[in-house]
Amino acid sequence: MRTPRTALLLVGSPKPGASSSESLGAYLREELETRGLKTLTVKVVKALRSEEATEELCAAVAASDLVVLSFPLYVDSLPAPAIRALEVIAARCAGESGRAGAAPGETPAAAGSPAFVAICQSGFPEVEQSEIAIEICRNFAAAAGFEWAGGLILGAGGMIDGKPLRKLGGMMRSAMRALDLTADELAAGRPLPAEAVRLMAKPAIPAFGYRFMGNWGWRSQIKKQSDGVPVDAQPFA
Amino acid sequence: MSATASAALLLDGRIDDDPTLALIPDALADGLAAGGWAVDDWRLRDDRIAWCAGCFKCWTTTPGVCAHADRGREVASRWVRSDLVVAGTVPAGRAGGPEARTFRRLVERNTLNMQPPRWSSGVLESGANEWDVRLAVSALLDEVGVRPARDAVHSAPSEVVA
Repeated sequence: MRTPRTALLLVGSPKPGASSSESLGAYLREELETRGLKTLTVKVVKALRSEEATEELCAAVAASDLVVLSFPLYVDSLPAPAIRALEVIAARCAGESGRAGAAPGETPAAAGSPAFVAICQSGFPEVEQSEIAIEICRNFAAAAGFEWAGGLILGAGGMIDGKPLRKLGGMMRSAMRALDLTADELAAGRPLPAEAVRLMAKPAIPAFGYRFMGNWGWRSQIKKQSDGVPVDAQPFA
Repeated sequence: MSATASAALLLDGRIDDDPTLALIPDALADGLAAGGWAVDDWRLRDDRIAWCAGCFKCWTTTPGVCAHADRGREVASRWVRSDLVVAGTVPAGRAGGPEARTFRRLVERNTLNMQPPRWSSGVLESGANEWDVRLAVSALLDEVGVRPARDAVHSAPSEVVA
């Protein structure tokens, strides 16, 4: 892996506003900037809205030494717009720059290829839920000619709720430490350290507490918003 | 699955018109029709189906109904009328995923609204795919994935991998 000078943050969340995926990615982007990298953020949903925006996405990828994709887990995989963005990047950007990739599982990218990092967060407390999605990203990196630099998984991502990590303070201490370590290594041209993966996976609060709060939150929202329709309604029955 | 199976919903997630890839869904539709099934053959790419925006309104505001007013909403209602649902997709190619984007949109749009929160065990508990199905009718679901070509990883003689 080469020492990067430029980094691109791809936010894979389909949400139009603030998202937990963006919060995680933004923290890493800021840390990379403090280590001297020039960075850029692109939301994939916006990049897919027009041909012009998609071209800008491709140009940004082609100009980057390091690409970070931060996304939420959607049914054991990446969200559809993130998949679409990866398809575009693999087919056009990589092809145009001569980075012919390998099929998943084949020979990894040559030394000196741009690096690819994935950050996946989900509402589940267990990080195992996101392992397949990270594997999909690793396959993409191999197929599109990137050098796979590793993946981070955060469980119980609902606690972030689109807020900046620094504002959440101690609750996100392990996640921020994981991203600090990640920035250190990536900026030096090295892949993610195992310690960063471990720290990111460390639960911020016990799983039972997270479930209790999650259930309370959903109940509260449904009571306010569903206009009396029961939560187990069968509207198509 | 009901005792007198007669309606089949085929969710065709192919992205292009590759004739090789058409063999399985076409044969499946023809075979079911020949066997007396009423086949609802839906080529997903022909419809504009938005992706899930993660708003959770299908849980909180209109339980069971997606907030997007497009044809993605129809899946649940057509699913209810079916005894058999076959989901056909191609891998996402160099994007590395197991399913095409056409199919992913459908999956995303119809997972939460078919799966109400489960208070007893916790909404956020393990087992994302152990659906506590909201639908009154439980159809048999099969998913078929077709690879456009064999690659180095999969050396099995068949092109059908799932």
